[in-house]
Amino acid sequence: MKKCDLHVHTIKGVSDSVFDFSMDVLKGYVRILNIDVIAITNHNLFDYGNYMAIVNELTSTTVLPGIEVDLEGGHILLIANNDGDIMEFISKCDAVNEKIITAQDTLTLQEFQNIFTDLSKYLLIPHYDKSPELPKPIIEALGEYIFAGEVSSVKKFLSMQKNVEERLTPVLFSDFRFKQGVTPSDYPIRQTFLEVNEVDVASLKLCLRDKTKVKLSEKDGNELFQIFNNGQMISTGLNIMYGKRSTGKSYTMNKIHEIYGDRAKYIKQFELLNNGREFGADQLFSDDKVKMESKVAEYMKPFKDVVDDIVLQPTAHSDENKIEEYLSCLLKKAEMENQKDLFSKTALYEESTFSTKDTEELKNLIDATLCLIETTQFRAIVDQYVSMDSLKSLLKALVELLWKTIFENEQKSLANSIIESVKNELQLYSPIPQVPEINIYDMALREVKRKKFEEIVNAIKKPSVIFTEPKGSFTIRISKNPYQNVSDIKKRGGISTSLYDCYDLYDSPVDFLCKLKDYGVESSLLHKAFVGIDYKVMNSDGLEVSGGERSEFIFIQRIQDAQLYDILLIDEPESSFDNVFLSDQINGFIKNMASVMPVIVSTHNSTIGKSIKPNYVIYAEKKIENGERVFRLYSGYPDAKKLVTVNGDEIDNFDVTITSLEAGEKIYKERSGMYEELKNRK
Amino acid sequence: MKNLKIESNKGFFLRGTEWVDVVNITKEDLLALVKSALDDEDFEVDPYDEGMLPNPAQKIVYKHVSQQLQDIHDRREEFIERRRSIYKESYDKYCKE
Repeated sequence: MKKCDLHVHTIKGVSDSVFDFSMDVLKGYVRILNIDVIAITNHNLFDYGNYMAIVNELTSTTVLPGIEVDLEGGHILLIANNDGDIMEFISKCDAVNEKIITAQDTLTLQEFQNIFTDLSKYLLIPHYDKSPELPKPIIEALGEYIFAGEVSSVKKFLSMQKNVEERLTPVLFSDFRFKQGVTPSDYPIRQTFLEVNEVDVASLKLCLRDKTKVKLSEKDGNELFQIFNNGQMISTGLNIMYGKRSTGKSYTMNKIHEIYGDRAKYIKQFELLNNGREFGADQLFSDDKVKMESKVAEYMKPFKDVVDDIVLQPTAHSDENKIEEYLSCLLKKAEMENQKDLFSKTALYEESTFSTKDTEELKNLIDATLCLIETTQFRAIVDQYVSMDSLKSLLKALVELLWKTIFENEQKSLANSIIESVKNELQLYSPIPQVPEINIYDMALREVKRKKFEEIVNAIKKPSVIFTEPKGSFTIRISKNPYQNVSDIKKRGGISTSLYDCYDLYDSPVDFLCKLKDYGVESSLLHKAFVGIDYKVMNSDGLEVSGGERSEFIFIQRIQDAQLYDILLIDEPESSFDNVFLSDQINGFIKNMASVMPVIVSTHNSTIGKSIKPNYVIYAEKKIENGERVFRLYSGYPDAKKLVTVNGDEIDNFDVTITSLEAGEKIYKERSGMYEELKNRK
Repeated sequence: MKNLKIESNKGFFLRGTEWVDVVNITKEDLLALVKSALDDEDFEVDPYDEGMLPNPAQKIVYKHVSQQLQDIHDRREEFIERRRSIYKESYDKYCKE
């Protein structure tokens, strides 16, 4: 078995960010992680000097020359023999380098084949379940030379291994930049064990043709994989970690989380506890939250449009004032008709302004015509009924009409501007009042709108269920009902502005809206102040859930997207649930997840700890040695007599298990006796 | 062509072929003058001169009308360009054949 990392970066390519190669870091990596074979695969280049320096330094490691090529938008590793015609390889890599000038450049398949001619001389490994993937048709075209595909995680490795229809063998490599400043704790733990004796392209190819010869661990096949660079292994399935309090369980979980970053799904201790809070949208997670809120937004959209329209139009009070002013000016002017002066006798003194034409409809028509012209998806059906020539003629006529209308509107606006400036100045010198321009039709229309708005608000305030969404054995029920007071508006409506005496006007929608505006409520939130939205979770009996049930519901939401991650970490789930839910629901879920990805559960609870039948157990221990705290992890298969540390220290599996999960053998026996007694009394 | 003039201490504007006192200018007259200011290369107005117009109402009307029309005439390219830029790309692509 050879531990291989055939994807290593030591020189910056055009698509890389700047980094300074460190030979010491590479040497440290190879030594600490016991790597047998590496391949130098820089992006689109091969630097002979750099390669030879590495070969000379890593005397006990096989170093293969290689290159990672940008091909048809994806990446592919091309690895050569280390005792072949290196000059020929250099010239081919230089040809690649000449064609890849910018980060966006990529070779075509033809160019790739022209450069490397006889591809059978090389080991080709494409990015397979890893970004940027080499497109599948290209992999098929190169099928006779490709036996393995690179993946980015243990989970993907296992998935490819288990898939009997998958021809390619998965390989997991570091794809790491060995730059200055990297410390041993940052060393990547992504390598693959290959069952080969000789390390050359032909032997590697032969090995990669057979999935059973490719493993994640040296001794335990694909059962275990290395998680920390000190050699600590864990199962590729279900791992249970236990130990007393403050023995480093959460620390270990956090460390794994750090390694995996956002590729790990980490459910922390107590995170699922509802703490008896009232349920709200804030307790819906990720997709559910977005989904529910967007459904509510969609439902409220027509109402929001009405509010947005009403809020922009002048108020009833302002319209009344305008009519009063109009009438009073009209009366005064009639009284002074015989007292006209030089100023009021000018023709423009009482001239009204031009009204302009609305172009919205015309623009919509042009957009629709453009849509018909430009559609590719429905080209055939459009062509069947309207010819392209007709559409173009229509577009021409509409655009020209728009230009004409806009031009006329502009001319009128310019004329209006002159009219207004003349009128304003004339008025300064004449006692005869100018009758203001008012649009009584618009005013009447606004009044109708206000009445309609009141009707709509009263209707929307009526309590009703907007929609329901099943979620496992629960149902999310979203309903609307009127607010009870100001704090209710602020809380359920999500409005933080002070609303003080607003609620007094709650039953007069138009005045209420004016008040909200006066208080400076954001326009996007105004519609939310009229009716409250309630998010409730109902149990299978149709009743609102209890505190414990809420935690269960939250758990179901939290874990529903777990499959999208590379590893699942759950810290003490028992702190949030009762044993029935643990054994009925959570254990089942954890087992399912562990069949497709590594799962680590930290626990004190025997329902989880043992009943779940883990694949691997890890016992965390803290000891004081020479006045210092020392944390140790003992691990092994569940049926092992001893659990062992990476340094070979042993501990009795039975003792630590019964102490951690059952509070010791004595208590366990007492408890068993008690249950036996209770059972006999039945 | 001259569209606005001061003559014998009075301001006049051109309505068709007839010179009319500016105090009688209506909104339709103004619209026609705006069109000329935008369309006619040789559009011309006598500049406002306070001393040549003793009638205070004429002063006000002539001042605003002459100054704003001259400004519109000076900026006519900008107005035309603004109008032409709307849907220009689509128009050039599909309608210029």
